[in-house]
Amino acid sequence: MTTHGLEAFASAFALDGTGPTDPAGFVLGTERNASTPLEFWVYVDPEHYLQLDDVVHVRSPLPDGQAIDVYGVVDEVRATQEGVRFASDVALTRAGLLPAETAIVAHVSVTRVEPEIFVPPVPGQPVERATATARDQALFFDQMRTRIPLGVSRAGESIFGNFDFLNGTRGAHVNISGISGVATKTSYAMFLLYGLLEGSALGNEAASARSLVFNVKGEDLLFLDRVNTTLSPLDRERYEALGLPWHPFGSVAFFAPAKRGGKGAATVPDTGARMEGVTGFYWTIREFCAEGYLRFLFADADDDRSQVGYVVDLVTTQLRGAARASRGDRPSVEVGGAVITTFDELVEAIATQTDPDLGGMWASRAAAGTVHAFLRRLEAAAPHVGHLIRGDAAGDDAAHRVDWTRSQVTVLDLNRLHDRAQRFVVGVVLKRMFEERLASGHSRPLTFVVLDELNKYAPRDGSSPIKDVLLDIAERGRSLGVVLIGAQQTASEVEPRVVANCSFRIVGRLDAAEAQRGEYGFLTQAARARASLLKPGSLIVQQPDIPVPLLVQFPRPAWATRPSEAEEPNQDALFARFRS
Amino acid sequence: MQPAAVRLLSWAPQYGTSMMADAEAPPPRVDIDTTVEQSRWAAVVPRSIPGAEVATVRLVDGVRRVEAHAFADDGGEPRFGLFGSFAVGAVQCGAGRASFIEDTLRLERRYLQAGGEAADVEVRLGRTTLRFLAELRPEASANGLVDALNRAMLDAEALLADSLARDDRDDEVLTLVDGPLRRPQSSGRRLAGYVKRVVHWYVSPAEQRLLARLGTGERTPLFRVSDPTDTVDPGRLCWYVRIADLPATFHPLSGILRLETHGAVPLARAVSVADEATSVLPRFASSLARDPRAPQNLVPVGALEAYLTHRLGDREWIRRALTAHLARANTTARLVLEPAPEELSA
Repeated sequence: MTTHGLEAFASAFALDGTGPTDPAGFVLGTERNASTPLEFWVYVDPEHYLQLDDVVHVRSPLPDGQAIDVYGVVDEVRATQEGVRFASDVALTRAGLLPAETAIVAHVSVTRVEPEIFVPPVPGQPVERATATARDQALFFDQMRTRIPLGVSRAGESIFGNFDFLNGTRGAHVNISGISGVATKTSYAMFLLYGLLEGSALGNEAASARSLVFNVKGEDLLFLDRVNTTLSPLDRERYEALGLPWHPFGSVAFFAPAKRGGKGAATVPDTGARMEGVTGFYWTIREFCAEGYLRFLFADADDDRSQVGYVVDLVTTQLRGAARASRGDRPSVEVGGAVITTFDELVEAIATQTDPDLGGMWASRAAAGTVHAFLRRLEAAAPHVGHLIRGDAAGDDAAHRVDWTRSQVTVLDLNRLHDRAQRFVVGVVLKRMFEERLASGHSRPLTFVVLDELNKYAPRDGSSPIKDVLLDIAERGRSLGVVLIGAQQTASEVEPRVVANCSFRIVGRLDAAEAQRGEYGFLTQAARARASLLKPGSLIVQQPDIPVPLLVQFPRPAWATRPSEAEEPNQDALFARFRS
Repeated sequence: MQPAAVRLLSWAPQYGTSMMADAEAPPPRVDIDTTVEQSRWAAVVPRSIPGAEVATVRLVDGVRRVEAHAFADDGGEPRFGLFGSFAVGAVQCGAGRASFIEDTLRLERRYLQAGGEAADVEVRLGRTTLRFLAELRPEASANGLVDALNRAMLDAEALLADSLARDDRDDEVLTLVDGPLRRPQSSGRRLAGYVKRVVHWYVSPAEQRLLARLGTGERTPLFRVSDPTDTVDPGRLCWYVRIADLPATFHPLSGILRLETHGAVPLARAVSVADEATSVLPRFASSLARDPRAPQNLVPVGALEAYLTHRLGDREWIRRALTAHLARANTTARLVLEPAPEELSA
């Protein structure tokens, strides 16, 4: 004797014999779970299961003999016992007294309808898991002119993004939110970058593409050029499935701030885990004055609100003049007849020229209190930034300038710098890069900027020179081929215009309260709930082509992130270099 | 004289009461023999009998529904007609699992007419066809047609119970059917009927006192009920069981159920069926919180009724389909629906 045979149930609904032979379930049509053009429920066949993120396909007939293909993604699954009314019925069922059948229904958010006739899929139509071509159609992969790897689904299937929405053709920029340490924001940003540079999307452009990576926490990014010896076979499979090789970044330049101290120290990079292959960087006093970098020392939002900004502008103008008047072949400048070779001397000279109590005239039109506030802040910054601005280095100054055009990837390791100095470096480097791109007027080569802690550099409130640069990149970078891959713990603390210009919105693990905020409106309710459960290595990606956010997982880095993972550079190659 | 102790009967009033009988009045024309199992009229405790616990119980039940009353006009006096549906099925409880036995389900639709001539009515709507088989019940009133539908359902129940009991090749299965057994000609193997509503007490008021004293899972001795005018018919073997201890506010007779098996069944087997049923039934008793006919409306049976009712189809939908069908068909025949049954009773 059969009990509750699904065969009878299924045959009652079988239509035309055109459907899949072994469907995962059938479109539901109860009052409570009605089928609609944009979402519907599926009664899941007891012999199958549907889980979150499964991609499904239904063919539904129209009265005129056509059929529409409806594709969607499972974003909710519910199991109930049919035939029970009371909570305690579950115990009666377990005791074998009350007949009840478990019924599982899955909610599907529609991603695509072909042709675009928006009618509900007919209740009773068989629903199948979409694989291969059907899956590509469901997720619009078939319509992406150029695809970039975003990761794999939990089932191990590739998930792609539309490159046109990243390279400026139809959009640009990526924004990643998530709790530090769990959300793996930086790792994912580097994975995206790896996919761009090492995958096929960029084609011939890959060699000329440039990227600026600001490493503000830890020293994870100092081994991008070393093989990760702990990469598992599964990770390798995932790289291969995404059409990617698994080797370290090919062309990387590392910069770290020059060490404090005398002349010799200037060429030595201030890093912990790695010295070899890392260039110590600094700017000359002359550059500092001539390029007007002073304002990047006053990058706090409240600096701009106060009158201090006015004094900064006055002093910047004076320093520019001083640089012009000084001998062009020296890294130093002359202020008031004195040759300035260190930052401390520069601070002192500025004080002498500015402080009304000392007879300074540079800021004579500003109130004395404002000038003093300016000087206090300048003096406070000096110990943190002074070693990065010098006119006394013995080496070749040009060799120690941050040159982001040298390699495909330029890593700036700022993790040992004080917050103020970090802002200074980020501001100066971004400003210079953007001005160069602006001057060139071309949208190629593509330039990628990876920057974490956007909330610090482009906070929601106030304005600062760095925020201006980031807003410029966010709003005009698309036409200049400058792509910002930004990250922050909480998007709600970042300037909305920066986030709003991003085509790709990505979240890793979010604080539950944060996930409910309007900045994450692109997440479905179910996705918001999941965002607070995401494990490291899992993120939710929203892109313009696909109307539902997708969960992606990405393989562990193919490059080392710490010395213990790194393969020693090949000894023969090292000797070969030595001999030549 | 002390004021009488007033205690409630458990059923919700809209279902009447589980006790319709006047305890004073003996049922007419039946012989009662309370000594068939033992001479002493005392509680039997099957729990103490080894093997009294049965592995699998099947419960048979049916539901019926009048879809519409009608008048058939053939030029003469209008005749009553009735569109009705009924379903019978069985639920199986055993091995820690309760399930509907899908292939026992029988769903039938009838068009009953009080005489004259009638043809089957086929109502088509979309992919569905409802086929109401025509049956003539000459001279029946509207209520008579309802009774006829009820009898058709009871016959189907009895047939199903019988076939289930006949199929049982091992002694592990006990089949229980809702209501008195209706096919006395059947040998009725491991089959018992249970009667939720007491219509006749059969035993004397003195003997009834034992019923109030029965503990849960205890029964009275078997007694035979037979027709004194029929010397061939062995009648039925009956017993009372307490299936639930209710709170003191309820009368102790509220937890009582009567069971019966065919009088032709050998006594030893009847005793073993009685013991098994008695020990298993308290598990099935429904709670006052979940069923208005608690405890007699058994939990699996309540679920079966809901399931069968669901399988009859949506009442409003069927009535609409019927109306639409008659609107098309009445160019040839003259059949007029009366207002919906519930509208009549309102």
